[in-house]
Amino acid sequence: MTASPKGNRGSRSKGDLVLKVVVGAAAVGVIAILVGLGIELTSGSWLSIKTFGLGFITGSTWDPYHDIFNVLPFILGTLITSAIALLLGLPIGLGVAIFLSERAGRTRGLGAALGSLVELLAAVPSVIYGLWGLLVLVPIMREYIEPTLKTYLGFTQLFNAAPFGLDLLTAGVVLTIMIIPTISAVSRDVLNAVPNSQREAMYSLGATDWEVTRKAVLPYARSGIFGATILGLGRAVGETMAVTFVVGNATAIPTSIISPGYTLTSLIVNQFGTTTDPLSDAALVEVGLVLFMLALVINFFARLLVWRMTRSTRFRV
Amino acid sequence: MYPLMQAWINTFTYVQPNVEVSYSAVGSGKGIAGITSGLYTIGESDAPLSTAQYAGLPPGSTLLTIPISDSGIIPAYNLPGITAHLNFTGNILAEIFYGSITMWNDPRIANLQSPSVAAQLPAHAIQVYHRSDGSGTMYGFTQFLSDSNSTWKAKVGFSTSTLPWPVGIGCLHNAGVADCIATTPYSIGPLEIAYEIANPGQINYGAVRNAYGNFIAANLTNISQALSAGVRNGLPTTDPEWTSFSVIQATFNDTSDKYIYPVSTFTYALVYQDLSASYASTSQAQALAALTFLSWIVNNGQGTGPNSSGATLGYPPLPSSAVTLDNTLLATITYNGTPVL
Amino acid sequence: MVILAVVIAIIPLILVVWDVVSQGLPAITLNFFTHNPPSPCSQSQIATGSAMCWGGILNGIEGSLLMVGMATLIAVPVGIGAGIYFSEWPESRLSFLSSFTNDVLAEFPTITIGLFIFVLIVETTRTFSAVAGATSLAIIMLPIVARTTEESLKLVPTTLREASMALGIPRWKTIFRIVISTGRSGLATGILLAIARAAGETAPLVVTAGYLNFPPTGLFQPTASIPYIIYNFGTGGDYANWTTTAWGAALSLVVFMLILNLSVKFFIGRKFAGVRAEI
Repeated sequence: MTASPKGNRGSRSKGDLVLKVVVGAAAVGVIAILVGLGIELTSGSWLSIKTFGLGFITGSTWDPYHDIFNVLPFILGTLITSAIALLLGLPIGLGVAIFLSERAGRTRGLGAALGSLVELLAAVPSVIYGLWGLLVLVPIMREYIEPTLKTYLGFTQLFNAAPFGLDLLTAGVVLTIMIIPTISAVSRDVLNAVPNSQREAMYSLGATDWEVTRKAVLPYARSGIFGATILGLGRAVGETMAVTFVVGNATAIPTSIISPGYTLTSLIVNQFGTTTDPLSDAALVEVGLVLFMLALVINFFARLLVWRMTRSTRFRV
Repeated sequence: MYPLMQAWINTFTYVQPNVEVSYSAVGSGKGIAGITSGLYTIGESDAPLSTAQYAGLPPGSTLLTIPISDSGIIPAYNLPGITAHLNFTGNILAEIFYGSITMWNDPRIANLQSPSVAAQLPAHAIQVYHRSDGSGTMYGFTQFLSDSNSTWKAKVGFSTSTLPWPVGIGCLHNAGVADCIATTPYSIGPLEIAYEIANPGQINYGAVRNAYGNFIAANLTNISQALSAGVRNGLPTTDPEWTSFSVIQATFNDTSDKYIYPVSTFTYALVYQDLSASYASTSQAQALAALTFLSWIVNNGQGTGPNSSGATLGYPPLPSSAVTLDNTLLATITYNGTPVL
Repeated sequence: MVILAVVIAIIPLILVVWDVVSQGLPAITLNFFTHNPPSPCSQSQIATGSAMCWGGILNGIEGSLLMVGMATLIAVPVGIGAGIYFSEWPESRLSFLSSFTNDVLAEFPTITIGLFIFVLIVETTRTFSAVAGATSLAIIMLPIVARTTEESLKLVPTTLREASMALGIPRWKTIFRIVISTGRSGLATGILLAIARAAGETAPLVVTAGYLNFPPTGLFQPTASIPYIIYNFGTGGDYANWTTTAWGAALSLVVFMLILNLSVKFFIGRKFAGVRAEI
């Protein structure tokens, strides 16, 4: 952590001012991009906003033929796939983080190697996960996993449909793989930020590793881990390509999680070449606007939580 | 259509290496908008322009509609144990896809079959599949349904864009529909004949009754015959007449047309007649290249030779009468007054 | 029990890499990198060994190089600039706001960034273009460069800055000469990470750059990219040679990512060498 020397010390030359202005402009540029994003998305979807108003997000009919555009099914699809990803991804991601932060300290080499492997998960582009999902995972889901789920859990509406393979559940599984690195990396930083005094106190009372983790470390890191989860949610909500390949592309409200669906992101990509008039163009941009606002809220909130937790060490992902 | 155009471009590049054709698969809406604004030199569409689209063209312009390929749409299904071609009429298909008929052993379906086949029909619900994206294939298919069934015409209609299918699940692209059907017993869906030709025997499909009362199972020959009959009976000569042109369900005067396949359609190229006009935004070199390409498609790209790709991909070759007509049309395209070709 | 979590986390990676390698390797020949994608071929056509059925990803390689290259040229100066501001003037309100915004932007859905450029550039120029694609990639790369610049500059001890300024060297020279050159491995890391990110992005390119089956023909023309090839040919249907092309492209991309990531590790190793001289 370095403190920057005050600008008054040393000679204040013209060059200092120029540098400050130039890099300051770059900093302003960053803000300008985000603001510009909001402005352009709003202006590009204005026609659709005027036509549908709030009904855009409460209505459930997406009918390009009759020029009716509502996105409730896709909001649901995004929420469902993200929820699946979080349900599966949080325990795994947290487990990995605990391992790397609390356990692997003793086995330096192994821990680093495993940590790198998990990070490599994040390095694989999402389109490749999508391709793999379509050609490898979907048949497995359709032939083995989903029929089994339907047999045992089919009494709930969640699994009561013909196993399709290309559906919300498969999309959720692929999303899980993609958010594990996010959750584990941020959680690991958060866990590292927990002061050792907490752990040592419990150890001195004779607690086991797991008890120390459960009773001393995790509660302390609670809000940071929550932030990591929200960041994972943000990643899941914004993921496009991996989902597009496997989600099934159905525009109706899904009746079960093994039915095909759509998310906000994959809708944009798939419908992109098919718009025929300014209204459908604007509607598609408005889907992007809805996504923008969703992502803004989630990311903003998540960053706030993580910042608060790690403020002392200023570790950031 | 996209794979076919891709194959044509690749083959053409072998034949004429100094011409580069770029193809933007943007869907007919944007394609037509692009031609109207001069962004594209050639537009490609599975349906002729509508009246409204013709009205949107630059004033004083003449847009030629040139058939470059064709297709047929078959009702493909997956019924375990049944290998025969089931018989369908347009009306019955419309009711199935509308959701009025929900069981395979519905009497309305059974009545169309021979007694032995009717007895095999299972007491099982029909799983309907359709395209989740818009396409020319669906344009042809839904036009057929609209012509056959007034409820369909009123409630759903036909279009090249994404349709409000009343029932069923959407699968992406032709291949997606084929996959959906292949993996779901008791399902049915509309499929381009190209899939069946490229993957013979992998999927079952039904015979459709044509306007003469014969149940026809589609193949390259009877689709070609349908289109040939259409051309023989006169293709439109002016732009707006193409709006109502259709070979679907048509009857013709020649008795040899009794066995044509009713759900057959053309695919069209759209080009301005005067490529030097400002609205066409085309240079002379581009005009020559574009027309060379089109001419090659029409004359060389239809068959099964090593340098052509139409029939090998399952697209019935243009009937020779259409080829003749196309060559005539292409010869009328001018640049600064002189014919380009 | 946490070991179980680690194992479950790693299994998909192993599966994916295994499939990409096993399915993609058959496609990799020298021709794969020097030819454009093939025509769609049915099984019977492929069996005849027709030359029309073999192809590669030349258009994607050139397109990706062009767009990622242009994006790097835009994102690196702006990103380093912003990173310098965050690091050297951290107390200012602009720094706080911008740094926070930077982090938000880093995790943003890339499809919205693509739509932004679609409205801004594609709709006004009425064409998909390499420029639009590059701009959207630049926006995605920018936060990574800015963040890593800030972090590696912050690792440079204050003593270095103070000593330099005590010698009368103006602040701006201090920053450039001493601080940046000492932290340069960190900067290089950031640039490489950003390039890796941009090279793998698909969604924004779908709505900004489009696709072309030839190498780039102009800055304001639709342009191919390797991720788009994977998307297009992977969902293209039952043409076996198209599927193989997609896997081959995926393998090429994964290998490229591996090389980039290994380079980053190499740089991080060097990073500590530069700072070791300080107390």
